[in-house]
Amino acid sequence: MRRLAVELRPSALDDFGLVAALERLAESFAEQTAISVDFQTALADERLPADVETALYRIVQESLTNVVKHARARRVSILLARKEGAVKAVVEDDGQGFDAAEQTGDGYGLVGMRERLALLGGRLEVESTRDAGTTIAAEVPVR
Amino acid sequence: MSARILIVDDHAVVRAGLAMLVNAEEDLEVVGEAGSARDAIFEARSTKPDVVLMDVVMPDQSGIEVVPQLLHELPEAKVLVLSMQDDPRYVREAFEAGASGYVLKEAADTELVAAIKEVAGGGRYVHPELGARLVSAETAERRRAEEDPLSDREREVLRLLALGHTNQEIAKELYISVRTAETHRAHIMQKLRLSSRAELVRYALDEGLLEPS
Repeated sequence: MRRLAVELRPSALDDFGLVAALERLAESFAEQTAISVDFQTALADERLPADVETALYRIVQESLTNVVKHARARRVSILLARKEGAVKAVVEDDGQGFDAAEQTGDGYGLVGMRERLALLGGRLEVESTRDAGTTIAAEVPVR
Repeated sequence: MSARILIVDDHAVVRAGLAMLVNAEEDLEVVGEAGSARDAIFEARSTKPDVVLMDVVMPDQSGIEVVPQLLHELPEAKVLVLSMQDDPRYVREAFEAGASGYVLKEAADTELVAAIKEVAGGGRYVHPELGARLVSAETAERRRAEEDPLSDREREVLRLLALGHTNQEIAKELYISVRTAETHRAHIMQKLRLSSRAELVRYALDEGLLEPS
């Protein structure tokens, strides 16, 4: 159980916090995939509750995996935004998108993301249009 | 052949004065008068004037507002707006509505005849000083637009995008349709020559749009 917990939480999160961990994630993603990644945040060095950081990190990671597997995107934006009472991670690509009506979510791990967020009282929004990219937005309440 | 003039003004005394000025000219002839925007349409239909002298402030409707309908019915007619307003915005509004000229009432005695002849001949007329003011107002506006190309609504959409809102959330927040939110976004990207959400965020940060207001 302890090992599982460690695996679920990348060490970069513990050592540097969410912002730095996402920066590293974005860098290595860009190197491995040749898809241009741009990470933006207005969050300074604020540390968030560990479970929130882990959830958002994993969702961004999963979304990036989807981009590689399905999107045929040229560029991806990752945005981490802080607002009153909540933190939000947005991953947006300029790829081929999918028809949200046809997509049940299983193939894209959206169900797992939703569950992860629900545990924290958060929610997931997915916007995708054929040939107009996909936006995954995960919001978690944080005091 | 003399040009046929329709006079529209809600004050009978003004109409009489204008008619006198116009009829004093050999090549101009008053063919009708109307005291309201609504009557203006009726009179125009029956008299088929070449030039309509159009008052702005009338009890039923603004004379400028009625110009498009009038020109729709009489595409050949020219409208010369007669106004007390020397604000360049009204001048522009009048021309946008389709008017060919704009004369200040206070200058009517000296300028009216020349203005009528100018628009009757297919030209445009605006009081020289007003024209100059119009140009400088437009120049100032263009400069502002270059400095900040976004409309207020687009700035608001940009701010929300930079805060991570989805199109649906923006639509809900601003009481607009998702399609409209998408269109705003496309315009913002185009105007600012940006191509991703991250670039929008960077721009918004640089512009200080994300600071609490």
